[in-house]
Amino acid sequence: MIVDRIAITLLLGIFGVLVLLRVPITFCLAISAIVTGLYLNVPLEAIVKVMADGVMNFSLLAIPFFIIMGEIMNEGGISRRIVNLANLFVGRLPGGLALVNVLDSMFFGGISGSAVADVSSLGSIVIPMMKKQGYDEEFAVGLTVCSACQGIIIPPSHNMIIYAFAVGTASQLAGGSLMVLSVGKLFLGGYLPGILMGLAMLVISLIIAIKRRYPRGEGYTLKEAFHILWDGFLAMCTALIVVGGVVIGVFTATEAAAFAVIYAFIITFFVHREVSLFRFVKILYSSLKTLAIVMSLIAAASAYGHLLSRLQVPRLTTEWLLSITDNYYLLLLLVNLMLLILGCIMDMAPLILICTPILYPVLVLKMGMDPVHFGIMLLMNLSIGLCTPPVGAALFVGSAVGKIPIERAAKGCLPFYLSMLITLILVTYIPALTLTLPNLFMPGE
Amino acid sequence: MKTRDLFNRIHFFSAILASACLAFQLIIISSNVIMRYFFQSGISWMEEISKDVLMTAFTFLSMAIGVKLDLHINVNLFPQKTPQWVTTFLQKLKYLILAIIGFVFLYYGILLILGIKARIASIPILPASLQFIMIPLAGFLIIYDSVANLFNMEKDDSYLDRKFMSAGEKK
Repeated sequence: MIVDRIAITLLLGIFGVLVLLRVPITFCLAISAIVTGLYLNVPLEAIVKVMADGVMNFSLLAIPFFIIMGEIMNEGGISRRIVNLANLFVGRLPGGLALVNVLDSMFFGGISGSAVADVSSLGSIVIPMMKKQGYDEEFAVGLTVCSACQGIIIPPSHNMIIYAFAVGTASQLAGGSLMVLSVGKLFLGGYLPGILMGLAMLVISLIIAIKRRYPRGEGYTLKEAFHILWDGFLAMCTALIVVGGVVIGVFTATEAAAFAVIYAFIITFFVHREVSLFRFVKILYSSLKTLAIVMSLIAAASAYGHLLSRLQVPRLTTEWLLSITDNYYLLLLLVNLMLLILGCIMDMAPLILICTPILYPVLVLKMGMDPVHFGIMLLMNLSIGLCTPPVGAALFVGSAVGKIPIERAAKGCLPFYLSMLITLILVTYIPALTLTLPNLFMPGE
Repeated sequence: MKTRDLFNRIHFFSAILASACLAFQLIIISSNVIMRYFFQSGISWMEEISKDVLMTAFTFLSMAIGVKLDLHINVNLFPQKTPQWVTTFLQKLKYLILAIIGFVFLYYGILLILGIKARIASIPILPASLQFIMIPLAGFLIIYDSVANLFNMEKDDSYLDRKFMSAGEKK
């Protein structure tokens, strides 16, 4: 089959150059697809249609619902309740607030699935508290930023839905039959790596806290403790509905997400009643602003992916990577390094959409890696990118919330980068860490 | 009425429409689950309408809102001390590309709609072109916002935030 090198250069070159020239990634994808389409004499109506078709997927509906759910919980004071819950469990230990910071991210991330939402909502509560108790600013911000990245791995996470969608596209682009990746398996696969990452950060925080003599937190009365537990339980039920519903098979991911939104709506507006019902208008609008980024990217990436496949880029990449090495472990190392570098300069959702169709054929189809394992490894790599300069979104939000420059925030992250990298290596080379829970609870899928 | 005010109203209307699509999706999908489990029946058109019509509608409408509010993510590898003329050039280039994409959505979106004669299978009364109806509107709004930015025309980018962000806020 003839490879059209000019078209490939146009598609990849225009995208790369425009990304460097600060054009939004969505429109870099769209314009490079349009120009390449013109060169290949593809009617532009077809390009526009492929973009629209890209979002006409029922599974993708879970994404807006997860985002609305996170917005409702955030608006309804969930952050404060989660901090209290975490404080109840670990607040009395040395450096209690640092440990609370990690644990609340684990809880909140499990609900919102967004690292940036985690940093902005929990960070605005915990960072000032930590500063007040004498913690270093850099440490407080660095810990908040890095611990927030667990939210990407611990389900439910809308990035997992994007990955599942990208796998479907990738399997088709690679010329095979449509691979429908079980979102339930993906959710279960994220638990152990996410918890492992959290535990690694807890250990590092504890060591630093003891070394720097950070204070212990205050205790609660039995009545307060019961109240905090109840509030925390109500909040955590949202994650239970989604993950439990999908794993047991009661709901599809989309239905579970819709139900979780209804649950969150009832809890926020009719149980806690801290905000007016009219606030839902603002919640929908805020969700729309997030969706503007995510859904537009998916639409544009669909057209780009279509042309990548037409020009056989995934096959060429597979051949190129295998020409470097066909050793599975070295290949994993190579892919990890590539994803870490890309994660440092580009945001998560576009990278999932761009890298999955290219790397899936090599690692999953050629080397036999489990798609759930590949997905969690990919998400972990990219989540590390969220807290690294120069473009880590979580790092930027963290430095804004903590009111310190990016450089100082990044310095505060340094010890935690180490824990994240160690976890990443473990997750990459020990598939059981990812696959044990999915194989245990969903063996037939 | 000033052009700026007219477009603010169109943007406001499109944001309401996109939010309504989101809310409607939420209602029909949840209702469908309830009906399926408790009444052993479902809404036959739910999946087709939510994924084919509502999903594309709010995707393209929110894309236009994203352009207005400058929400779409980009990579900034330029140092902070980049000369002003370079920054201005990059901004103009961005708006030019956005205007081209807006034009493609508007013109080819209309061609796409005109070329579809089929009907939505589950609700035959509705034309299948409804799936793409918001693409030209999004294109039109993207063109306006990018051209206005390109030529430094008077704009009010915080209009939508002012209208929506304070909704239901405690006094």
